[in-house]
Amino acid sequence: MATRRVIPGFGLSMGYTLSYLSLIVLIPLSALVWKTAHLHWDVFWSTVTNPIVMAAYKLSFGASLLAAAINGVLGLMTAWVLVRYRFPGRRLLDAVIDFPFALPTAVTGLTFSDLYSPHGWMGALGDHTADAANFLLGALHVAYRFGPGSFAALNLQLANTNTGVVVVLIFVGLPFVVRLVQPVLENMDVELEQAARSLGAGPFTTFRRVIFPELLPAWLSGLSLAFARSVGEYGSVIFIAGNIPGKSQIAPQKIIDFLYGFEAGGTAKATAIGVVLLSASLVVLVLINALQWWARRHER
Amino acid sequence: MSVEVRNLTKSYGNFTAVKDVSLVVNTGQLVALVGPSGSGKTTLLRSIAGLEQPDPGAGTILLNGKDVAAEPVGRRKIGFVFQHYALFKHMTVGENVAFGLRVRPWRSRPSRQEIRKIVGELLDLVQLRGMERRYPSQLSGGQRQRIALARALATKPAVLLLDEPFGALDAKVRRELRQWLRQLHHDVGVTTIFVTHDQEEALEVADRVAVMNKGVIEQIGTPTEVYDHPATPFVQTFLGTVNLFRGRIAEDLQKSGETSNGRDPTSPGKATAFVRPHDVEISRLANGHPGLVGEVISTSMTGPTTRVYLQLSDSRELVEAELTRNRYHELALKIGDTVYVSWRKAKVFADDYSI
Ligand SMILES: Nc1ncnc2c1ncn2[C@@H]1O[C@H](COP(=O)(O)OP(=O)(O)OP(=O)(O)O)[C@@H](O)[C@H]1O
Ligand SMILES: [Mg+2]
Repeated sequence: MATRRVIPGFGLSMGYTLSYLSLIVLIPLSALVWKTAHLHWDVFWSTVTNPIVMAAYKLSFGASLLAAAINGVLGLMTAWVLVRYRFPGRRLLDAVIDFPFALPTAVTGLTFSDLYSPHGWMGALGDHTADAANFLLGALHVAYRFGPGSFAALNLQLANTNTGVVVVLIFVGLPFVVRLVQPVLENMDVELEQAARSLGAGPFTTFRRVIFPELLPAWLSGLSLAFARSVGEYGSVIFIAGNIPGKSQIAPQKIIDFLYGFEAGGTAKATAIGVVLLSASLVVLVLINALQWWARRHER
Repeated sequence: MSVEVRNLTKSYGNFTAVKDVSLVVNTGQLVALVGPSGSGKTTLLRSIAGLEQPDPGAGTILLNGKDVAAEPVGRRKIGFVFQHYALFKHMTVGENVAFGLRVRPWRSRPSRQEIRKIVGELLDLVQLRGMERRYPSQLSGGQRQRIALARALATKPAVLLLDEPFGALDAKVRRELRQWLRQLHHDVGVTTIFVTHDQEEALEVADRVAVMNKGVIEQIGTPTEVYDHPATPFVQTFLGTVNLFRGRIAEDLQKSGETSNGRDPTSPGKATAFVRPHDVEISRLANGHPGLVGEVISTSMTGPTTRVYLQLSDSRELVEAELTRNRYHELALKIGDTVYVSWRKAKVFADDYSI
């Protein structure tokens, strides 16, 4: 401890941090657990293992994990393009990355559910494509016309589907990976790459063995934040999710159901689901942190 | 492997960092590139390595007589040691050294045991055996430097390029590593070009020294040649302290002592004589020579020699002289004494030269 004490006033700042943390984070969390403790064990267990609730966990965690994984790849690529290439519109793209942060979640939800509805731009993309092609053919005086269902495969009707949930979660989580990886990439010494190349490593090997390990801790942080945010998303997901209990209902929706339903002890049951979500998130975050700890082993 | 650079020019935007440079390094030689900061040393070295492309059509780089313009850095059989080491932080020392072997296509990749053996030998060579498992952050600057060297040597390069290998180290460690590099080069025998801005280091370690200034090589030669027979005033001033005596050739300059070759000392016109401090002679008596008159300003003891600073009475210019301890005691100089100044050896350049 002594060696890390660069700035004086350790006691004061530590005390302040702890009380702040308690007030903002620890007290609400313990209240949640406390509330759940009122439930009889049997009731708790039957609530959290109810097949409908289990399906909701599966969707929430599955979609969040999948979205985080996709964001891991997409976000890394985006950060790479933003840092390594100079192209017109780069600054604009850079600014747009923060968009999902700024947008109110309900707006995101409405936008996406509308886009992917059967009449939305994406939901009817195939029909629109056929229309546009036919218009062009007409303008060129070609007699041929595409039938109405020719591009049906392009009709991305994801509203009320679980795929739609993943798409929204990708949108919501994208900034995390980009914004965490970007500065590390910017500050990375190009000489590391050049050293690897001079030692005979090809571009792919250089990326895999030299560049990526340097980015790994930041990348993992981005992943875990994107995941944590996704698990808790409500507003943006609720409109696009099908919300059929047992099939396409997300866990936070189940909480709302218990809270506003007319079932006896609904609030306690809602918190029970909350506690499970909390514990599962905690486990995932601890796992990712352990990975990070391993990735940073050389810094100790 | 020999290295030849022919008429290389390299620009960044409209700034020319290296101008029409030619250089030949024979197999097994140890050549130093010296020059002030920004003179283009790193640029030249990086161009040889293939990390920098020469301006289109401006220059050829030949390794063993073969034009390597189309060869990427990884295939030039060079080992490059970067100014700031560029060690891979997340790899242990052993993994760093083994990197060049491990990334080979599996057909030509040595087996695990072989790699371990080679790494062990290299760590012996750089005197860091037993540090395989450490991370670069757990090493001192000098140790990191040697690991960077071991890593570059692992692929058995035919040419070793070192960019200010000892730049970031303190004077004592530098001096040790200098000797060590000399010995290593002797043992391994690989053609080596190293960059430094420390003239002492260049003169002490290298077989040949190339002095760079503003993107051009002003002179290439053995340490003795460049030190004793500098081709230009820049080389003369860069390689150690010099005193400048301005005057007219034939008259003033010859009057005050012997001059060595350089420019024809009898041609008319203004000229400057460059005299190293250890070639300055101080005497109490005129001695028949019509020498310059100066006043002792200060003296300082630097190890085995003593430096005496004088001010000439006619031109008011300062002169630095380096005397042996014996000579200094013999003269019994005191501050304020008036003495006669002459020199044993000077290099005269006519004044159309600029420094
Ligand atoms: N990537 C670059 N873009 C623009 N100018 C550059 C670049 N690299 C080098 N230069 C310029 O080229 C000139 C030569 O640089 P170089 O790095 O070769 O100098 P050097 O002799 O190695 O100096 P030092 O001793 O300080 O390392 C400098 O004036 C520098 O500003
Ligand atoms: Mg340099």
